Amino acid sequence: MEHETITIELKKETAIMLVWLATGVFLVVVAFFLPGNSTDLWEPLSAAGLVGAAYLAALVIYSTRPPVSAPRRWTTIGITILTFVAAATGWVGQKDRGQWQRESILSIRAQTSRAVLFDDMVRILKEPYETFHSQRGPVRRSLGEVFQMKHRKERVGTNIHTARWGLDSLQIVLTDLRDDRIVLVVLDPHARGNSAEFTNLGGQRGKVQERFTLAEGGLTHEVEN
Amino acid sequence: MKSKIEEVQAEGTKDELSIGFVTSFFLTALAALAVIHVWELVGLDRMSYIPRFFVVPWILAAGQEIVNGLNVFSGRPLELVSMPLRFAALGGMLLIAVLGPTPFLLEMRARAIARHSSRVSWPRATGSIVGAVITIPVVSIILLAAPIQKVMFSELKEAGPGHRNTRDVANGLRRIAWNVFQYRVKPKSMANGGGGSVAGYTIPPDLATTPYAHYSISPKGENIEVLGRSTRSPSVTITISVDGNGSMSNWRLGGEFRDEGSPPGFWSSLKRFLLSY
Repeated sequence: MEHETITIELKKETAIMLVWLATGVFLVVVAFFLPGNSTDLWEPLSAAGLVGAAYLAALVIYSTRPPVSAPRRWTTIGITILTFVAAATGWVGQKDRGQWQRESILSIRAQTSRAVLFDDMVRILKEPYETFHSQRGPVRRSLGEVFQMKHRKERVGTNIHTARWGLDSLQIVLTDLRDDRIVLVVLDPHARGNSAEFTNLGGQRGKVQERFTLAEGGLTHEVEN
Repeated sequence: MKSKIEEVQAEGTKDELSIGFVTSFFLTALAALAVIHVWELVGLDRMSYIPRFFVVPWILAAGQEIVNGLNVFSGRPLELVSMPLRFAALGGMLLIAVLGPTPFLLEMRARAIARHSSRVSWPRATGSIVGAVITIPVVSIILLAAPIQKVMFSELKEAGPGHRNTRDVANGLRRIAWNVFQYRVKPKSMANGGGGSVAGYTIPPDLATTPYAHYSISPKGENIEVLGRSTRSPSVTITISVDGNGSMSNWRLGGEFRDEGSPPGFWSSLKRFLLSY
């Protein structure tokens, strides 16, 4: 039985190119996957970027040695440096922009939450307050009684907010109900508040929380976080 | 006496556009067109798991950062980066750092040594063209994109405070609207009571000046017109009309975000760009 042998002959330059390619791909892939997966891409990209830049620098130095002419060598090195600078500027700029936009989005969430919670609080307290002050005659109900007439099922310490959709996590907690005052504490467990150290009503930390106290004289509003 | 290298260089320059080189160039171009045609035909670009843009992978990373922000915004938990996105970023990095420049630069060196392209084998010549086709546009994109991105980010940052001011000023207006309602509801016998009317309403000092805005009022019949002016950007104003029920209407915005403002021109953008460095 005869064995046929296939021989692939590689020219020296082709072999060198394949070695460079294999080395470069291997180094960049290893550097990319080494930090592991997380919720963002910056860490693996930074590792791969550093290794890629080192590889490119070595490649440029290798490929521009004599007999490559001096003008071509310096042009190539110049373009490479310029590209590195532009890439670094673009990289840093994109990172700043991504983080800035993320912060902006979170700030919008906090501001929107405060506005929505205020509107919800108005919706809950407006009618009892107007009813209380519009009472005439000798027998008048207290502010707390008027509120309880409207919100019969609500008990102190419970969340009286009705979720509008699946991800609606806003909370309006009735924390105190007396004849002369109604206290609502509103919070958003997903919106970042002013201080990360603040402990919220439900035990979370650093989320938006405001307190509204309605008395006969009017509303007192306190931004707790 | 001429050196050996100089002699080789003098020989080689006449063969820069050999038949083999031109043929491989056209074959590569045809192959690229065929790939694009099949891509369009099969509809690969419409498949969601193949990201379209990965030539500049740091844009993907910035996009992921924004996606994370949106997830937090929506109350969703943060998720690990998906595999297609990771491979798109890795692909971009390989393309920029390895796959494009390696054949391009090594071929440049091989040509400098050989100095006549007829000796260059077909696969290597094709490889060098692919390298050039990848490297030249990528370098051009990187060089052009960096200053454009910088100008855009600068513009975005300038627009940001205006929008944040709008929301801060609006939140103060909500509190004043409640206060107007409260004034109308309270009897005249109580402090700050309007006894069924908004006539004589004044803004309490703690609502008239906040860390974000100053507010002033002017009565308009049964309604009150409230003007909020941002403290941080005094040109930013919001004017609304509030009725005795605390309802807000007739919103008018003024300042940086008003509609009639013309967009910045080329020279002012260029000036901002230069100043930003």
